[in-house]
Amino acid sequence: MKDLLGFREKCISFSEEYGFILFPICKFAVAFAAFRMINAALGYMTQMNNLFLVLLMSLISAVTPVSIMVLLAGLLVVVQCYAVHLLVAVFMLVVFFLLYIFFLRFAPNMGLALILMPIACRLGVPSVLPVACGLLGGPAGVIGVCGGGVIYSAMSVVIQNAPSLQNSSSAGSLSAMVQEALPLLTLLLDGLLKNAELMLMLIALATTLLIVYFVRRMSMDYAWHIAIVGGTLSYAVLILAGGFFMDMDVSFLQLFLSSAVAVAVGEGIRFFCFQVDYSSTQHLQFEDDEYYYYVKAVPKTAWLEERRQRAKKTAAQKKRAQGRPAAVKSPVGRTAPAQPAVSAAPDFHRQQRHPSSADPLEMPAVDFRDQLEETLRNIQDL
Amino acid sequence: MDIKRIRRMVKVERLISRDAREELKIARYYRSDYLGMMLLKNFFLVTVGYMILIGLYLVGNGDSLLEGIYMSDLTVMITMGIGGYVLLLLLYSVLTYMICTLRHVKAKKLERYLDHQLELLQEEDPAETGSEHSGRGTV
Repeated sequence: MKDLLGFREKCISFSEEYGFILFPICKFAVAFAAFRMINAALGYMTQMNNLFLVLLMSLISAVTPVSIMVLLAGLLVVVQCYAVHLLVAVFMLVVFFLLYIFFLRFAPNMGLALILMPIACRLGVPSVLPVACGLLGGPAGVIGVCGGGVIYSAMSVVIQNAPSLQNSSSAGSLSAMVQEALPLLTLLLDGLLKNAELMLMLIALATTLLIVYFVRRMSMDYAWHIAIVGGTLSYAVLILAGGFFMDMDVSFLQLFLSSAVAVAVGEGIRFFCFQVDYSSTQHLQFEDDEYYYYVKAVPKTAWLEERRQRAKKTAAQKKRAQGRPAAVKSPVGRTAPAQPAVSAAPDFHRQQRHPSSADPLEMPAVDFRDQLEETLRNIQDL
Repeated sequence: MDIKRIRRMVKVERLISRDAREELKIARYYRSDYLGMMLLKNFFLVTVGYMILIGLYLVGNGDSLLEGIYMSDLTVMITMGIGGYVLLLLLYSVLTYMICTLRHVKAKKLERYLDHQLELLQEEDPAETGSEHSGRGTV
């Protein structure tokens, strides 16, 4: 565990130190994967499959905001659809435009989810995105994730109907074009709107994200673990139940693999973003003139480990200085007096309910009241 | 070196240049101006979006609609179309109003926080951030 924590700290410090180059590289990789995926899936215009063009677009995406990446990906999809038929490109534009008007403009920071969702769907692991967005973002992530799902479905509809669409020509008089356009548009619209699979996927994605988000925000122990597993399970159950009632083919193996990958990714995110030691939880209760406070303080593992190391070091130094054997452990981890907060304010009641808090090396005393007051002062400053 | 001061300067600089650029743009507007602008934008977008939706509906169901159409049905259909538009516009206007109000409040709060941080910086070293350079552009 110590090694893992050390690795985590190294990764975090590395990303902080070289973030200015790491983030553009990550953006480049995501953009490259997205553009390659679009070309591999649609690939009707051979000129756009040029590797140099894809690299150039990825490079532009790496050094510009995410919205430019979304724009380039959208343009690529429209151009590829144009190679099938003019109406298909118009259909795709309309889908993008409606998505923006009715949903995406309320969540402007969801560009990355919008890009990653079709990639995840293409790789057969759609449940990864709602789990990741639920852990890292808020409920607005539903818009990005579901928007990505709709775009992927629209692309699938185009791919399915491409042979019949390519056979029809877009040349001729206006009336002939209109005559031809109606059945084509109906075909595409039916493929998107009367698609029970898409509806089921959207419901499952939204439910998973909301479950992950709300559960991980709960104050119960191991909330993040429960959120990851619960969210992934809910996705699997919804897809299975929907597949059963709507007579759809659901691949058990793919669903299992997708769930396993979602749990692995979720645990990875939790490892880097939320490392706490629930065994050292403290429950505090106190009051001021206006409120009663019931506080649950869960120490971060990295901080606790640092305190332990420091305590051991100080103990060793003291031992050397005093020339006494190491049999007696002194509570050197404490930096504050035993009960300073209680003596400072008679209304303050410190309650340490957890049995593991007896050892000072395990549970270093922290003046949470001071920390809380400082936090409140900071909030008031806002 | 005053580490606390450097940290504060970095935090303020990061907020101004990267994280809070959009919020600071919003905070420049008065609340009523910002909401009015966003509601107007919403009106145009919803109108265009609704027209596209109606167009798509007509494309999908045009034949069946034209087959059994009567004058009374047409009146009902037009009424329903206008009613749907008004409902949609109302729904999205309320949504826009709520979201934009929240965004503006958040932006103003951030602006106040930044001003406070800059005041603190100025208090810590008045020689460097003199009165002729006061304001957000000093850091």
